[in-house]
Amino acid sequence: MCKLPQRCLLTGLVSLFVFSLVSASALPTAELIYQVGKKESSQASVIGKISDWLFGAKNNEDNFTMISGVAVDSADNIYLADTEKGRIVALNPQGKALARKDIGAGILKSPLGVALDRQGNIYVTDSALNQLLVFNSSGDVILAKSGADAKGGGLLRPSGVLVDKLSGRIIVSDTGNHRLQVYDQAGKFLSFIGQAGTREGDLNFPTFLAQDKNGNLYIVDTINCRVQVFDPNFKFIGKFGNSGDAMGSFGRPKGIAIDSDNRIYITDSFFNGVVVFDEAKKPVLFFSGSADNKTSLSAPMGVAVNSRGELIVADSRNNRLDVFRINW
Amino acid sequence: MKLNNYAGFVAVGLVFLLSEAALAGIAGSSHDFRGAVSDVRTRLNNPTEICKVCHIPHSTASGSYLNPASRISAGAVTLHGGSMATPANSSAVCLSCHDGSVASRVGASSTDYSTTHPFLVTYPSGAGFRPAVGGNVTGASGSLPLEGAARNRVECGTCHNPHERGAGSKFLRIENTNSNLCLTCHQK
Repeated sequence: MCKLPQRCLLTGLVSLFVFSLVSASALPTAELIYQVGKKESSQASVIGKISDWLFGAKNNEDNFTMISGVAVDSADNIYLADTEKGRIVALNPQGKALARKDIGAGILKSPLGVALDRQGNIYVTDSALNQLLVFNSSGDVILAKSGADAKGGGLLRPSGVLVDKLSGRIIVSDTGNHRLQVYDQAGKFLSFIGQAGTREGDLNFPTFLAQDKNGNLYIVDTINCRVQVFDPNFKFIGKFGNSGDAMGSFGRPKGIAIDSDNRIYITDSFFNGVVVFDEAKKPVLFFSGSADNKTSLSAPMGVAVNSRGELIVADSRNNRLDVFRINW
Repeated sequence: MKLNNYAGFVAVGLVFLLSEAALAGIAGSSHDFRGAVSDVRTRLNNPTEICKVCHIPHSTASGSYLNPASRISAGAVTLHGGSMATPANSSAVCLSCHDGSVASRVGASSTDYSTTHPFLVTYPSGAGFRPAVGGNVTGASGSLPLEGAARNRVECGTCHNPHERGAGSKFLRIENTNSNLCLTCHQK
């Protein structure tokens, strides 16, 4: 307790200064680095339409229609689900299309989730086909699964997909059935995770998935407005988030990524932004576009983090990718 | 704080339930998300939770709200003494689920007639279209509301009433038997 007004004032100023330093160092910021994609040619300029008519609409990094899932490989190449165009597109780390054919074109109807394994295989969920499809690096289908073989085991609007870093097991978010399905590397069904409901371990339209460096599984439990965490044996170990508009709450959580420091990034397609949690699962940042407000996210879905810690956001209704640097 | 929030949820739920009989149309429909429709126990324990999936309530008094542009208003309903902000269009709320994951996907291109009727567009005037009067278009089978500040926008809610399943399964304001829905706007 200060006895002199001057000392009180000095103490207050010092406290404020220290608090400011702590606050400044504790709160990260998001910085837009670059964007990939543009509006459809039907909404583009007259010159663009004429160009498309003369030379054909570009089938590359400038021409997406609703991006859903996104993943990065060990070289930081980006794989995105170009949902309405029914294909997976591969980009280099700078966002330029890799010189290869689109993956799944002519096969996929509504690709949502995308994941990769160490062999370069590409795992895709298709919510119209109700299937998990696996393509090799040449783009050939090497596995197609419609769910568990048992009665009632079919996939319904599958969305998120993840290849377990520890075991190689394939985990699919069976969104319409409020559960996950687990397969071995050969595609043999192993087990379900969760059932419809709101209790711990229950799911209500689960969507995208991620795994932390300890092998724990994070499930975005979208309509329950929370994230649930399961250990590598799929035992429930925790949850965070709820319905609301405060920091750390969600409207419609969808995509999820976890960086090498176990910091968590979750997109919210209702509030059109990204919520960032630190390694203690404390919410530390919400952003909905660039700091200058010239760019705003629209119904973001998938999100991935590359080896540099940059955040690649599927800016779904803007038909583009937004890449952010998080300054911790 | 927590108590206030809970009271707010309950109050909002009661306001909805008492003032909008149409909400009865949600129960048991595909817009009834209370712990998944099959989870009867959860539904019984949370009778007021039917609204909050789309009408997400404030959850803090600190002012650190998320992006207010995405909130959806329910007209006269107020929360914590203030009206919820009205977004530019209600379609944004619909599309937050109708992206192929939680619900069936709606075409991203608002001018793509092959996958869906255009939305996020201004209602046209002139030959071939019935005139909009007071933000509504009225035909022989009923009226359709336009949205936006100028009440001149065609959004999801123009043809669909998310609170009322209707005779079919698509929450249509006017069933499209004999093209009755189409002919409410299109004069043929």
